[in-house]
Amino acid sequence: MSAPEESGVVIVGASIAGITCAQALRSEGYDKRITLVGAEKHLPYNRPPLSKQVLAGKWNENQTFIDSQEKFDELGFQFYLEESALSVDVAAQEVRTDSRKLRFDELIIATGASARSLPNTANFKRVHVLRNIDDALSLRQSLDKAKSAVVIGAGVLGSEVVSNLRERGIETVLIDRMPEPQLPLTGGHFSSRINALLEENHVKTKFGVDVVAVSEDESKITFTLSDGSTIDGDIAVVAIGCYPNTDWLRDSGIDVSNGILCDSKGLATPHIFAIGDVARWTDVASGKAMRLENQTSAIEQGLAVAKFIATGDITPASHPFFWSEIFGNKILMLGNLDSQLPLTIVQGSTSENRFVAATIRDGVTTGIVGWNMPREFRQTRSMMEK
Amino acid sequence: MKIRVDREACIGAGQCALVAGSIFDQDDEGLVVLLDENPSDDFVAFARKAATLCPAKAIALDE
Repeated sequence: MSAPEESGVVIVGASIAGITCAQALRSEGYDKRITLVGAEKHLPYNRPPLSKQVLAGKWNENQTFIDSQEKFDELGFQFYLEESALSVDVAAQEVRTDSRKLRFDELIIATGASARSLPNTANFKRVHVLRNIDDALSLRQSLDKAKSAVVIGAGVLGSEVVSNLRERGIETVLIDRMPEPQLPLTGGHFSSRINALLEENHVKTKFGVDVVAVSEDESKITFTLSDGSTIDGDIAVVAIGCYPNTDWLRDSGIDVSNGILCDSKGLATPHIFAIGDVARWTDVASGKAMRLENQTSAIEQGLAVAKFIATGDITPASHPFFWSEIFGNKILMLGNLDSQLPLTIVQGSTSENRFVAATIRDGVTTGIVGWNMPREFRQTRSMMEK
Repeated sequence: MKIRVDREACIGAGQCALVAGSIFDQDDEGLVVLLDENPSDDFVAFARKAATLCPAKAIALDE
């Protein structure tokens, strides 16, 4: 192990949150050392296209990279890739990785989340998850040969995967323990719309059932479900969510129950911040802390922490946002739709399959969705500021 | 500075048109339309902000 190096900002996690924060530190005028530690071998890349353009074969993996090594060199970033953080000593302000010790003035934890898998399937060759570049490439390769597939999890990722599989003509069964498909932040308002799309596109669904056993042999993978039925396919994709990568912090004294608990500035404890999928920031208005697992929140948290470290200025919180494309429908979602309230159609119409809709509680808009109406969605966003 | 946009990557979130409306617009599909590929120095900061906030990373700046 080499000797401790000079301090500065250490960012553990070299994905979108970490690299955005690093770049923003420089543009805010921070001129001390910036070190990024990344567990993957790749330079920072963009994850959302993995389940979209990359899986569809429209992009190669190089198109997901955020910037070149030369650009990062110009900014003076020191990268340690394929290196995992093992522990942090909060009092000594020091991180230990598998190769070195790094002293920090400020530590930014951006270790993200890992895909959940099904128990006892670790060595299965026909089971895929989709989180990293390598996952996407391995899945894409097996799709070239697959004729049938089983997808577990009818959330946004599962729905994107299913729509991709059907575009390739692969026979698909979608399984979820919930009674209906669910998009995040939408309060269940689009479950029946997604159901209709699944039906139109000949996806067989098994909802409200648990997987009780999985087995695979040379020709197929077979799922036994809680209703007694069995479903098999050439391959399976498991899209049942993520868990935050906080294992390495278990002895640190930092609260890591369902992500790193932070205040509204992203501070977990003095000199230690967390951003992105691993972080659970406290919302000032509601007092609640939750993980926001989306790209835009990761970017905005990275920007906010950079600004705070470099200038001391506090950035007001913004609304969560996600986008998806499911069977050709462009879906944009800002804020939270309230499941208890009816949808108010702001523009377009549901029958034309093009609309902007919102839920409004006591004159306050809680969330806006754009369904095949991106420009009108943008023009409507100001409703959220009122 | 020169701006490039990738309409293949664009998802029509409209962040760019929101923060830099003199440089970016959206077409009927919501996809990015570049209005000004060489913005004057006064607008460079807005272009940079748009590139940072773009959730699809569809805006590149050659500085």
